[in-house]
Amino acid sequence: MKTHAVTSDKNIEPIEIGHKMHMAGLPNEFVASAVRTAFEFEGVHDLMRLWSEESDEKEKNEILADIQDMIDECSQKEKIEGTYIRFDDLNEIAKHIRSFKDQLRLIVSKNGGIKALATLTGIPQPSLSRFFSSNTMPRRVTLLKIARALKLSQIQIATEWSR
Amino acid sequence: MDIIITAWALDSYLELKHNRVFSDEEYKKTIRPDALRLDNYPDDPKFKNNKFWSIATDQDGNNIEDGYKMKWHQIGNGKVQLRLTVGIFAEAFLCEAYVKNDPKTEKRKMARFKVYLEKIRRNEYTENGRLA
Repeated sequence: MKTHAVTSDKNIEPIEIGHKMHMAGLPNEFVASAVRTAFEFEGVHDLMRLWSEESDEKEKNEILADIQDMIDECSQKEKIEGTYIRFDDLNEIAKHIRSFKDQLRLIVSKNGGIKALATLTGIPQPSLSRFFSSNTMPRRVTLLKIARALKLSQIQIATEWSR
Repeated sequence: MDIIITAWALDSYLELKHNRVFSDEEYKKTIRPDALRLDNYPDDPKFKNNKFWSIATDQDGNNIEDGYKMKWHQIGNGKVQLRLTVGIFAEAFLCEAYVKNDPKTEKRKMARFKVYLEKIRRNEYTENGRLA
């Protein structure tokens, strides 16, 4: 399959938006990853443009969470054969994920809350809020960042339903 | 055509199901049979109906290459508009199901879809089974 790269004349825009993000106080690690990923993936470039043009704070936060999601997606560099899951098992899996995230959220609360975790991990606050409120499978890359930041053991971040 | 369930699709189903956007019956009687029509893509006549199937477009109104949307209207108790993004290559890739709330959500979802399609082209995605 032919892959698509962002054309060179579009390369300057992510840098400019990245500067705006930096001035808005977003973590350096996040801004650098966003710009780097936008060079390669037009969809991330589009999200950065949406963030730049948006004035509503709530919507801006949703876009930031989307950008972080896509940065994490783009860190996958190979095809993975995941577990086959039947539709009828989704409710049970969602319950496991909810319970795991709720327990992890308690640990985060005892360690200064989401805001402190955002500072320690370099993951924007809206992205962490989405991580804890959604019922999607947690990504291992996010769990590892949280574990490192809070000095948690492998057991504390172990879950069958991560990807 | 084989129908691949990606991890993105699985994640979105988890979220929608947990939020009770659609019932099990709706999934089994409507959503799943419609998705299975991809087995006969593009010959199934429902793919000619643009209220059910259309090319995806980005925030600038440009067609997204290889990107399509399957659409259901009035799904669930909330009678919402459900969308499923589908990448069509040698196989059909189910990407992300979502509720179409407003134009802003739609733009974000289309930007995400572009990333998914590029990850498929690069063979950098997770497959969680095939719909059959």
